[in-house]
Amino acid sequence: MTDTRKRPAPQDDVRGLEEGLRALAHDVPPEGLAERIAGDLRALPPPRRSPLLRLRELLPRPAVTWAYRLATLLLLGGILWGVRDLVSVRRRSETAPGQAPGVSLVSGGKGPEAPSKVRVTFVFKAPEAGSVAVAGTFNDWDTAKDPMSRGKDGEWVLQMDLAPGQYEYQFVVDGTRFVPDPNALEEREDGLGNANAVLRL
Amino acid sequence: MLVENVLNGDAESFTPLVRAYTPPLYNLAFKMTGGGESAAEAVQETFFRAYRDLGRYDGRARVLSWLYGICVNVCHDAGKRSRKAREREEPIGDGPGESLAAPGPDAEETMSRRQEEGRLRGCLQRLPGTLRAALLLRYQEELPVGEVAAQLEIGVSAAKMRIRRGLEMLRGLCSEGPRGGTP
Repeated sequence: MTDTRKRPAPQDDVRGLEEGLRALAHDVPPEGLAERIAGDLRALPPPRRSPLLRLRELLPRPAVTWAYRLATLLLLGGILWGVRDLVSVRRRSETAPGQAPGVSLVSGGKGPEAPSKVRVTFVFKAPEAGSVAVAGTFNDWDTAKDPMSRGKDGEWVLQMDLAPGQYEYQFVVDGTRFVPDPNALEEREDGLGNANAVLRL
Repeated sequence: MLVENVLNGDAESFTPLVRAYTPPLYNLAFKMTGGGESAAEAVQETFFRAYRDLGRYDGRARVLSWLYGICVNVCHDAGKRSRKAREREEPIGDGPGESLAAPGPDAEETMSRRQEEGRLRGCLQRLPGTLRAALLLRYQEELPVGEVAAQLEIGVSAAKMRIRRGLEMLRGLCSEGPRGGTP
């Protein structure tokens, strides 16, 4: 039915491309380019240190280091506080019917404490697709690691157990085409003209 | 440190940096822009911006990595400016594969390697600039993913995503076969 007999695995293709890119010959600048640039730069006014960096240099090194550490701690504390709220909001919303987008959640914990893993079901409808996978921050955007199974009516399904946290993902159709989750509750620009679905657990 | 010397008034200390980093920047710019003259201009503009903004360099990244970041931005800007003009001109065919360095010892082998390389260069040129930059920084300039992310001013996860997608898209383009010369 399909023509997969002698074709190399997708990851082998990719490895070959990685090697090909590494092996591309280095392009050499025309003779005298560096000297010409250096000469042109001499005509410019000398650069000045930015006032912010100058201030940082005036402060003793340990003070700067401790200021960074303190700021990081405060930031982490704020994030943890926010995540705690979100998890509890999500748990409450799980019980509400009609909330299921392309992803449905089943908490793996018992009692009020946060679960160590959360079962997530990805669902994507693509009757015309030959294969669908999920790629995201949970698998380093690997397009081959988490393939979905074809269900009835052209629905592709995959269950995963993920640690609580925030993830971004897209569906990968036929190995190369990235498709945003049409049912995502939250999206974030991926910088390439598409939107990653945001999953908060 | 040379940067320190320049900021302390010794402008001549910038010259060794220009000499040392012109070749790697030219290599990046050539593959980003796909052409010789615009690559030289991009390198020049990179050093101009770096010199102008040297006071803001905080020493956290290596100087060369910092310059790579500037160079990528310069190439993106140049690409945006020239896109309209380029569209009016004729397609250049598979030009990017032409100016290659160091010929190999065996002529036939060199020929087929050149063809293969020319094809890969052609496909690389058809990638979106953001993906091309991520691939070149990672595989040609051999920066770790963290540095690629820092120089493209994106998160590590986004850098991994661009590298993955770049490779996937490149695979798709290369499997389509050569196309550049058809009218």
